[in-house]
Amino acid sequence: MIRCTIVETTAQGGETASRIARATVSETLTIGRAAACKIYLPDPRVRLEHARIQRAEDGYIYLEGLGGAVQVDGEPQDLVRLAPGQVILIGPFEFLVTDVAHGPDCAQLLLTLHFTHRPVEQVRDDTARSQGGFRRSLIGLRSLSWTAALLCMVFLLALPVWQAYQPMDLISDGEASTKLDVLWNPGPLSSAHKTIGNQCQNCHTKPFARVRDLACISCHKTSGPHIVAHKDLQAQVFMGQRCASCHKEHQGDDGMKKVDAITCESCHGNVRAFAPKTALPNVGDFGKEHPDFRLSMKVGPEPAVPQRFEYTPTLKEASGLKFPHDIHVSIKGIRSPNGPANKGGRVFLQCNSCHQLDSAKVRYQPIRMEEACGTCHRLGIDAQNPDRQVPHAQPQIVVQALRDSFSALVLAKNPSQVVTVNSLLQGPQIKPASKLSSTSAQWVDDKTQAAAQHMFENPKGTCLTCHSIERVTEQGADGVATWKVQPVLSNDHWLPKSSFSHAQHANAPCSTCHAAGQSKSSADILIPAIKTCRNCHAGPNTRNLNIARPDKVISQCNSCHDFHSPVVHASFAADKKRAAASAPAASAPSKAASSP
Amino acid sequence: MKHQGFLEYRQFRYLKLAWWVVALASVFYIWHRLYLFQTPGRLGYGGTWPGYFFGVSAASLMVWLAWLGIRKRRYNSSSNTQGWLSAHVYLGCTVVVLASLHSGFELGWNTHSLAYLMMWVVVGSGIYGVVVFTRIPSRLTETMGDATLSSLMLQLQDVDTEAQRLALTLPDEYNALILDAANHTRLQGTALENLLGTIAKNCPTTRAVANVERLNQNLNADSARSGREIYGQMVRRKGLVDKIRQVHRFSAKLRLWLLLHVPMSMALLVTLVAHIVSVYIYW
Repeated sequence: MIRCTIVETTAQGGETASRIARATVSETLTIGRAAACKIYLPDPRVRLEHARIQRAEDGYIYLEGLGGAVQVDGEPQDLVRLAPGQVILIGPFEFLVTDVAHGPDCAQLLLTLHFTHRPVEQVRDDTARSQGGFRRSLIGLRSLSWTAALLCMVFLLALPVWQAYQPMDLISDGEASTKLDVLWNPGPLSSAHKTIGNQCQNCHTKPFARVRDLACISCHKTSGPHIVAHKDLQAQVFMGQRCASCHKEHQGDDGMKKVDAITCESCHGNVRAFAPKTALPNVGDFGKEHPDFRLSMKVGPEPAVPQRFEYTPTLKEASGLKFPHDIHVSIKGIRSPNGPANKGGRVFLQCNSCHQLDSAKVRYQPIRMEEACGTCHRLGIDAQNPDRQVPHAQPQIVVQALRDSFSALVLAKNPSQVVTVNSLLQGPQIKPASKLSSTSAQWVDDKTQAAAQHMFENPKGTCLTCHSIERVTEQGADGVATWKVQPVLSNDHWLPKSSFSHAQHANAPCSTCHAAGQSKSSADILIPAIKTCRNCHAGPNTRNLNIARPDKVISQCNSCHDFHSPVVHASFAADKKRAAASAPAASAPSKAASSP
Repeated sequence: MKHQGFLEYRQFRYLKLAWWVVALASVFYIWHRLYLFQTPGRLGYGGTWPGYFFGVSAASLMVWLAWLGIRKRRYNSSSNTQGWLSAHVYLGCTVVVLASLHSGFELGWNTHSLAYLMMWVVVGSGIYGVVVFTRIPSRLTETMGDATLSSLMLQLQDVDTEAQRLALTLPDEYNALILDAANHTRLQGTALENLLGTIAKNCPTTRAVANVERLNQNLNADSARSGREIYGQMVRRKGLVDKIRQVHRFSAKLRLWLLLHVPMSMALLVTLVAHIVSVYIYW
């Protein structure tokens, strides 16, 4: 047991004001700011249990630092034997050991400590405690918030709104100055609108109002509605629709042209709900629900009005021409009068030897005999004289050309019988047979008759190679029989209600779609069926996530068909004209409805 | 009773809610992109009806999230502020998903994408804040141990007093070094210095430790003891200064992210208004 006396001297102004003595008896004297300590020192600089004083095995009293050293006589000590005169410093408290009685023989351990509380000094400014861990500066939370919010308010909201209400700059040439409201531009403009794009009010004419059709029509003057003539359709189906219902701007370069197929399908998916009397089939997704192509062909007694036939593999064309594609494009070549001699006169024809793209590179020009066929198929009169040819024309003209040719031959032999040029051109009509020598005239007649017959009737003759020809009368007025060529109904626009650009498909060889190499007859239709198109094209109703790109070209309705000026098919136009002629008062909405 | 943090509030009630919101929104989005929304250009945008749905949800959530700033200052409210914070954290994360789906993943150089970017900054800084709040307090306790900031400050004062007393008999260089260390050592920096960690640069205490050691070599035997003691005090001072700075840095970390989170939230709310107004003014 240690009996400890603590004498406290409170110093005031250098004078000793009072002395207080406390005594405590314990085996171990703990010193610290914890309340349980025997020597309780309430100060933050003191550890909870700062040190303890106890008798060691050797019988002496030791001071032991707990959780750190204790300053004894100005030196940090972990364990020190107490001796009179030592100064123990614990935080701001100073203990002077004035008396100590201890040792191995000592029965009553005594300890007297002189206690002084050193005055607390003034806390300096820069070490002052602050809240939050960093010095307050200009950028406080509140000022930052206000600044950021105000900046956004001014530049993103207030100034652009103010500009939206300003009248538009009218610029005759050059670009208008860019305003702050371009910051609102939600996406890239279509390429065609980029030049007017930095003035939003070009299209957004009125704040807080949707873009009006007037804004579009002011430039796009020719874009009409869907089937202009059909007033009911405009009133019932398209009322309330705007240009922008289908054409979405701010969707990238050609975003405006890409029109959502759903919009078409909303009517054409169940077309009878909108036009009960129409003959049109329902149309859905190109990949699955588009009907077979219906081919326009010139047939029958009224070839000017093409009729439409649904595509079937057995559908044949009646063009009146004989033309086997397979022989012409054979890989063995085909004999030609122009062919090189070392290859047996054979030339090797390609599709484009005869078929030429039109200037728009969309469709092919109609085949003309003179360019496509004439270089090989010469209309010669006799084999001895290949340059002597007849024109590619109706039989009467051909016969006349034959007669002219033979007459010329006769005249070359009998110059005395030449009628002067003047009289031929200006004089009265000369009776041919009477003036010419009867033998010469007879010779010309005979030769003409024989040559014409050979051309028009010999199966291997010049004309029958391609045409079907029948003899009409035995003898014509001029003593030569007349023939009639079966009219050629060449179809050069099979699918007039859609557009197909051959130029866009130029990377595929013709044979990918057109089976010309296997076609033995001109009756074969080489326009491909829809399933050929579907090898590469799919409708939009495939999975449409951005991550899952389809392996086919997505084709919308407007990839082939035009909404604004749909082709009114010739057959419908003819029907309509006929109907109008028979009953002028009755309108024909059902026909018109079926025309798209 | 075990302490329950705001993250575990009521067995992760709001985490579960957030998961459901994200899952349903994603399913809805994928379904409509697959079967309904078929713009040929495959460009998504917020103007379809699901787009409006996502936009309205995200915008109302953002306003509600910002309301926490007002809610936490109301002490008489009946609802639980800890629950509010839990919901703020978890539902704040769902805003990222909702706004992304609203955008259709199409971004550009405009107000709309700026708002989207700001939202990422706000949510990102918020997530950083959550991380800070879960990690810093325990490290602060580790560093401080028994001591408090004020006790460390008082110890620092003692060191200075003692060092000044010892230096009285020593050459002027000592006094200058000790006074410089006492008066010009900066313990807490500005927000920027905290970010950059430059507060310990050119520290007079570090300089004093190095220079006292150098000066001690030239001392005569009489004053060598004082020199050594001063060196000891300066080393102790350095330890204290490092500790106090560490404490300040920790408490700064707890607040610094708010300098991004709060002003950006306010800017975001204004930009959101600009976004909505601009969409309808140029409809």
